[in-house]
Amino acid sequence: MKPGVHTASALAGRAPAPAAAPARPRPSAWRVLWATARRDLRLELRERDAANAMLFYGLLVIVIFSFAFTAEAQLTLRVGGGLLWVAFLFAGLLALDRAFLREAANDCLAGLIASPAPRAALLAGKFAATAAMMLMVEAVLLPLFAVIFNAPPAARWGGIVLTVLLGTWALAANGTYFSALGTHARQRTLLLPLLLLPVAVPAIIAMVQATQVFLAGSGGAEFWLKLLLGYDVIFTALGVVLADAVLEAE
Amino acid sequence: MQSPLPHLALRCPLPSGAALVACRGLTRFFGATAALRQLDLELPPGYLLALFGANGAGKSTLLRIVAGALRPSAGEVTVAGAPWGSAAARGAAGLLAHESWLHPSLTVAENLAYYATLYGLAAGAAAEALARARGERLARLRVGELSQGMRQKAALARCLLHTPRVLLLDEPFASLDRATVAELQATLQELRGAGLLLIASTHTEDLIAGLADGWARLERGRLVAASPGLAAEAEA
Amino acid sequence: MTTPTPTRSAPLRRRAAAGGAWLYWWGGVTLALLLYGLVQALLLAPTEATMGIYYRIFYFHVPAGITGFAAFGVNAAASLWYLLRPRKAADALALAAAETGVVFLAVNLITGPIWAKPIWGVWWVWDPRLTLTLVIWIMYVSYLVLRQFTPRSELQPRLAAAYAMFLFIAVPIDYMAIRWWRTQHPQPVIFGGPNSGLDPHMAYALVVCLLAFLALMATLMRFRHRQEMLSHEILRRQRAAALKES
Repeated sequence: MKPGVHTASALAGRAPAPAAAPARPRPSAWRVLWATARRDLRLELRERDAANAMLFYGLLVIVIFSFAFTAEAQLTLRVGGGLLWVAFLFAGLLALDRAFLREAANDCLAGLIASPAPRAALLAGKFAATAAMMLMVEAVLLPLFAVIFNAPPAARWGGIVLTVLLGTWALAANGTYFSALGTHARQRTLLLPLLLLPVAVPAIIAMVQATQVFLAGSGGAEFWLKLLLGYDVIFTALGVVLADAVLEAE
Repeated sequence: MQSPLPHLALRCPLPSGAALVACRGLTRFFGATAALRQLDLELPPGYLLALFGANGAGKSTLLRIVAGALRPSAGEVTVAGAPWGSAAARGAAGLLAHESWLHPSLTVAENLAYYATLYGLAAGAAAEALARARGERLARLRVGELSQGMRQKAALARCLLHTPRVLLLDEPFASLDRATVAELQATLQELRGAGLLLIASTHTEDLIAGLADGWARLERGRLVAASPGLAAEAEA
Repeated sequence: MTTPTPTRSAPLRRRAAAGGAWLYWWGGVTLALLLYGLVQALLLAPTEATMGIYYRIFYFHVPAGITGFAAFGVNAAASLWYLLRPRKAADALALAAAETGVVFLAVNLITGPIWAKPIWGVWWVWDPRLTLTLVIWIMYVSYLVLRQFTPRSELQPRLAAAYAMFLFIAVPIDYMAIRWWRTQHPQPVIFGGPNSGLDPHMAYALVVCLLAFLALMATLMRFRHRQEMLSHEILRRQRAAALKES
């Protein structure tokens, strides 16, 4: 090839390039959020590896607990909230781990990072999908738990459902962020619980206590619910503010 | 002692003023290893540059940095006048990488529709891009089920989706059959005609030879040779 | 972004030695303070009426706790500094502070049960302050694990700084959640009611020990910080050499 000649003629004969850059559409944060959540849920429904594993794992935890501690109504009154949330937490970790592990296929994460989409919207979309997944699994596990552990008749299920919503929000918000944070690490599957659990301690205390109160049908859950809501709002905001720090080119 | 490598700067005579991709002193390290060493580069619209070099010469690193998928360690990079890392720079570049960046469990159309949202486009852009990449038939197939050539087309559609002004191609002809290569060559020519800047890395030099406006050779992270008229000895 | 240039290449050994003088001076002061504090705490301060000799461990227990929390405060400030202005020095300080804090809080967590066994009759109780201290210690161990697991790159300090923000914000929420349980821990006696004042000599010994521990923290932190900065310098020189080689 004769590059020199080629260059000269090529540059002369070409149609002139557009003088100014055409105005580029800006990706809308809400549309990115929605599309990301929909895509992840669709992937989950199609592959179904996380959902099945979560259900089975959560069920196993509940069953093993009932062997470890004889499941009677008295026990449920005392530690039911803790048992329930340990099962939800372990099952939830599987979904949280998938949130960004999913993007390892065909290096999809590079595509997300190279796109001009707002990072916070990508994270929030993943959060929404993961939280939805966790809630679906919990919706199956909760009645199972009630049956296996002979939930007391005085239990107030409305309060428990509210606690589950707020608690799942807490775990999913931080878990999604830490899942993104771990994408660059070695042993990322091992890392996620190590990052999430210490930060989740106050949320876990609050969700367990609130669930306990509602199971026993006694009062005093307001403080825990408020604390949980505060935790949710604060850490969701922090994740949005610091989104740029984790979804970034290496 | 080895003779030092020449240190070249790539400056194409610019027909319409501003360079579409400009790198000044671009350097990238992995640990203590230098993958790119103080690269100087200015390239105009409507140009096809062939990037030659052995494995590990820094071709992929350069393309990934310009695309915004990898961070420069030092130096300046601008894409379409926007600084590296800005949304404008990201939106102006498209990279056909080794991997397709398409999720294997989604269909081509689903993948492209998602990328359309990420770039702020209407869903119709997906079908349009697929047509431009000559891959209309692929829309409803899952990416995981595509052959090598089909996957390349789908990935090309993904890069063209947002009508980038700079198209970066990392070994675009690798493991494609003759017919697909010819098709891809035609597509590239079309795109150059439309005023895109194309940078294609390859080590199969003959496939791009008749096509490129100029070439440059990378060796151990440095520009060591380029077509006449393109290279200028870098000022010390 | 600046190009790493091979200029200003004072031999690394000389550069390492240059900051060393500070360490000798400061280390000497620290050592003197620690010895003086030891004498005050173990020999000169009066023995406490009810707890007897066991109480003397609190001259180490309390300063270690305060120092540990101070170090975590430094970590939070340095991490915020890094997020606002990414400088290697800020990141090195955050790492040095976290490591130092974990060590001091570990001393606090170990000396606590040693005191608790003879006085309370148990090694450990889940009272708010103990629980909070343990949780915070675990949080910063997690921070160090994150740094360990993330390959060293331009991105690693940002990930660590972001996580440090999560940790710092979790602390007050932890405090609120954990406080809801009944406390068994001796209440602070220094600023307590009229009858709970600390003996002046005890207070003096405590302040000496606290100063000694803070000085030790500064020494250790400075030492680790310098180590980190020197390892950055080594990398910078390796990179400068890699740029030059043909």
